[in-house]
Amino acid sequence: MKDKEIFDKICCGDEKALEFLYKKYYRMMTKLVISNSGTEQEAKDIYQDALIVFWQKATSGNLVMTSKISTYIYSICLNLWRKELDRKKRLSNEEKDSTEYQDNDKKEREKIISQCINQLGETCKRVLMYYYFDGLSMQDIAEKLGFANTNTAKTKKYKCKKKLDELVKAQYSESDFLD
Amino acid sequence: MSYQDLIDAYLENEMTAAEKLSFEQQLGADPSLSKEFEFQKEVFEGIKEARRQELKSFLNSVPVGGGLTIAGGMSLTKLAAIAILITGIGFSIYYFTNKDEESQPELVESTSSEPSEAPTNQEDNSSAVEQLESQEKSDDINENAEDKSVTSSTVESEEIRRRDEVDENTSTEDVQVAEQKQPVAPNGLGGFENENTQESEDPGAMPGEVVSEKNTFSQATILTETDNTNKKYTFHYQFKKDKLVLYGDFSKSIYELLEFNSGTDKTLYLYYRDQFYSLNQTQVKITPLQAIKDKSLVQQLMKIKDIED
Repeated sequence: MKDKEIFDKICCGDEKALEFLYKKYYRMMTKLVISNSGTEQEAKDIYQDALIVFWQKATSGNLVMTSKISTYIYSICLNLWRKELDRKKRLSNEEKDSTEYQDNDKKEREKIISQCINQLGETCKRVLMYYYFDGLSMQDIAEKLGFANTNTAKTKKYKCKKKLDELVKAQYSESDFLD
Repeated sequence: MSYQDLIDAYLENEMTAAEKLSFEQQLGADPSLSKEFEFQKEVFEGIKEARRQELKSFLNSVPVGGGLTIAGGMSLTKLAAIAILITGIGFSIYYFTNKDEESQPELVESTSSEPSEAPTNQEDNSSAVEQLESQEKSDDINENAEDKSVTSSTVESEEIRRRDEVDENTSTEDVQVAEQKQPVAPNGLGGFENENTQESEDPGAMPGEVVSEKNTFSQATILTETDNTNKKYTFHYQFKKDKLVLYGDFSKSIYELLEFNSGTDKTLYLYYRDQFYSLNQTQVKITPLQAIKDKSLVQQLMKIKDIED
């Protein structure tokens, strides 16, 4: 597959193309991290994160490719790894401070949301993820999920979001996060 | 615009700078909007995070084979398949006319003396790692030195040589190849049903036309392996020990080796994708394969190759 072909496929949310890309540059990208004092696992993590950043930008239509895909992903990897190195450095320099504790509530709420998302039906989950993360158009969502038209997709998205909000709010009030 | 719509538009970054500013002011002034916004933001981030995790575990489930993947992203299984394919076709087609019994030992000799020539040829090298390796290895010719290449032909040279003389072949691979070849004995050599009957015949009974060709044909005496792992060498060859190493991707088509023995002289040609390449057996350096341009030579080679095909 050529760059253009891969890119076009990724733009409409083709996960097979993502898989292809992942395999294609695995060695090249992980090598970047490994040869810069990273472990194999860190390299894998960074590469996956970079690829997901690329995926999100491409699927949401916010990306105009002016370079080769590999060059682009490589630069994301580089940035992510620099950030990670900085973070590690800071962690080793200063003691873990109390900010951790302040985050506890937030973490608890994140967990609740995650659980609620999993309580949704598969279609709802897909619609919301495609819409909010991948930023796919209603047209693409309708096609991917086999909806009759974009209106169905819109309605689904609206209803599913409402349902999720309700689920989360119910859990929040149980855990005293609301008032 | 409802609260919900406003919040959505803001979170999805669909507002103009002016709209954003006005929304942020609204947030500051309206605690209930602010509260709803914080909630929506968390859900929004939650969905995104869930999808991110999902993609991540999807990628984690993709087999990449870690260090096993080679440069081209080729999987090991694919490589193994190619190796098997090459073993099958790698014993390319060889010619034989003159069944002078002496030509056999001679061949063996000339191939095994190959490596001892290697060091002298090293003098003009540019000290590539591979060359050093071949020099080192030539010190222990007799130990079938371990080979790092993945697609090495699996048949031992001993076996190949024996195949020329004896019919007690046990390796199924060898038998197959030999059998396939016998019916293809060059047309011009009528009466030669297979090499074994030839051997039992008096060499003096050779048909005249064969003698006039002044070439001896023999079975494969050269071991071949391909190495597609080196980025620098995409279409190169070298003789490492008495083994021909082809660098590059030779999986796209069948390659054939043509070996000519005329008296003491032995000439090797490689045929790949409609082109012939001359192989210099004293070449221990990794050398680019260069197509033969001489039209009359190509024609002649093609003729002989076609007979065999």
